[in-house]
Amino acid sequence: MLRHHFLILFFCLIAPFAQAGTFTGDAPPRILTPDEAFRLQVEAVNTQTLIARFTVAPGYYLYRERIDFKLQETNASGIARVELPPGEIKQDPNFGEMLVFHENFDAQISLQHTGDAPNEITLLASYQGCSEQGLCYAPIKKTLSIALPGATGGSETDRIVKLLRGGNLWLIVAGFFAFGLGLALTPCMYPMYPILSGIIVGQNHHRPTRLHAFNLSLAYVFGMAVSYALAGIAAALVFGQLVSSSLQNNPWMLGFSALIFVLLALSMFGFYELRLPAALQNRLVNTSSRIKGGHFVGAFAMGALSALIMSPCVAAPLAGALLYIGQSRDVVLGGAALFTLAIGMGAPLLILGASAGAILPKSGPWMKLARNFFGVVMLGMAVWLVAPVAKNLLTTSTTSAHQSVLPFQPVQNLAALKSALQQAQGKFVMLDFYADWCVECKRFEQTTFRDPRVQKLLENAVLLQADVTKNNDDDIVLQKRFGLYGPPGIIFFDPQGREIKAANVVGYQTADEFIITLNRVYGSREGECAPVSAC
Amino acid sequence: MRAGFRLLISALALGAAIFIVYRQLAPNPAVAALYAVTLPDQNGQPQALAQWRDKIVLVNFWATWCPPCREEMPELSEFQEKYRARNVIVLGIATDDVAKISEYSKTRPVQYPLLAGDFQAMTLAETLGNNKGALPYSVLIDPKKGITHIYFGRINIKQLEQDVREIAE
Repeated sequence: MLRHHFLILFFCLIAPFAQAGTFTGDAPPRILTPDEAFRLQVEAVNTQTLIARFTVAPGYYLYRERIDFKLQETNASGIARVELPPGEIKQDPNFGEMLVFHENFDAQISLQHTGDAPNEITLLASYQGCSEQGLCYAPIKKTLSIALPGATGGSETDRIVKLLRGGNLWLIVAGFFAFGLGLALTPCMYPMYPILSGIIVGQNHHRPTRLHAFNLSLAYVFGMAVSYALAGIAAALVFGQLVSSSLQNNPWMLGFSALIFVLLALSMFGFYELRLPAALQNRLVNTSSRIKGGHFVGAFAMGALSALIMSPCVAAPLAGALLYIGQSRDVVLGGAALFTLAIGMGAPLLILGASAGAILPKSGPWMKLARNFFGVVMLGMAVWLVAPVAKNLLTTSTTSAHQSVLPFQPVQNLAALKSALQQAQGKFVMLDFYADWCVECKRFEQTTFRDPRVQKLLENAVLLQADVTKNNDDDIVLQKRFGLYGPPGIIFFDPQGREIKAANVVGYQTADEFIITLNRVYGSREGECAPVSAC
Repeated sequence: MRAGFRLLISALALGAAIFIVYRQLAPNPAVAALYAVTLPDQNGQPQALAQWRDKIVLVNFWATWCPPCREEMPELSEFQEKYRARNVIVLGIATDDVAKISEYSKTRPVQYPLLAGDFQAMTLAETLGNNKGALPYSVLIDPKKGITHIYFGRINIKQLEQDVREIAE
């Protein structure tokens, strides 16, 4: 009897669940939860930079354009920039080519703070991905509290870190060091050996210790390096802001700077000497000889002065270096590059110091050879500068419109731009400033615009191009309107025809960089979108 | 003692029986929640979901940005045509707003109602068993028994047809 009751009870209880059993049977073998499929860890590198590490499970992927970071509104800080790797192209039958991440990747988030950086920020991250099994996840939202390290890294440090990350700064600095070593082999350095020897032996007239001698020559070389670094910084500031843009963008200026390089090369070949006026140089030599030897400060000052004395001799390669730095418009780079250049130049002096004045290198035909080598380098620079202009003069007649890899519509003036923008309502618009003589524009055309990812991203945008080769009044007005001094410059407009200032491109960008810019352009619309899944 | 035990068993059995009857009447609180909702369709017209409670319903959660969702929709549309006569209806509840789904339905029309679930959509999907925030997500509802099958991700139409025939017969 009891057993009978139990049976009834048993059936009653399992009946409702009998159907539920089929639930699990229908689900595909194993579906990861969103947090198993995609993991996000964010850490602060310094007060300005966060690294967001995404872990993507095999067979799953995240959409590049659907990754978004915001700071909680209560923070007096904002996100200046988010840099993502370019991603891989995924062919999607519905959306065409999409940029996705199948593998783990890092995003770099640059922060900006009003006032001091806070100790902690609250980051709102959202991302969305799918599984190759034919399943997507609704946008995932994460709120993360991130402690920022003590406010040590200013934006300058941050910039250096970034350059170092790119490997650029080290490469350039190493190049300048090698350049300096090369310069040390020229006869220019020769007058410095007796000067330094004099300092080392100094007033004491008895041989100093090896360490003391080395320290003295170190101080001397540092003095030299500091004055070069100052020259580098000055070059970056002055050239950068005044000369570089016109230098870059005008065929006459390009020709002129190429001519300077040729003149410098000729001086390297020994056709003539570049030097300061003799009176000025003598005065400098006299002043420097009045500084007492034997002291580090004296040696340092002596080094700084020697750099000035010597600079006419190395003027040619130095001017080349300064021109280069001027174009880069980078103060940190300018200072660092010329500093290491001087250290490179001073390396033999350090050896001299270490030997306590015992050895002096002999001059010989190899010094002449080194100078000739630098002359050839200078000529190479000249050719490199004028090559694009010359090519255009030779191959295309000045009137024929140039053919771009992208289907640009030409825009002649502001009025034409306005009507083009009106016609393009509802679409993103890209306005590219181009000129036949613009080297960087050519680079854009030959690399960035040829990149299939870039072409794909621009497929649905209206592409306008202002050819400012002639630089006539219309061209100048058009460029002024967008605050450009000259091409290359790219301006974007949203589907309502409003300029997207944050995405302005001035100067060359690689395809990877340009894709990031394009994502910022298209992302400007997403910004208005509701936070949850509705985009 | 023995009588008391018997009473307890009977009470439990009665409770279970009431539970089952309740389930038959109001098949599932989740399903009840679904039929309590009114959502705008692709033309912006509000539609009370309760109007379909007597049909075999396949609720398909989707989004305009979701590639596998878009992939399966033409198949679901075909499925709708094939089984319309057998009291089957597909309801496409999007996580998007009216503007998005109306734009979508112009270029890629389907033979079943599309509804703009917007922010509600994922909550509703979760109530209906979507514990993974996955899309597409579909639920098959028997008007008498409530939810009989759930499908995570891209649906297998053959499997779906088989499941529907089971209910319809």
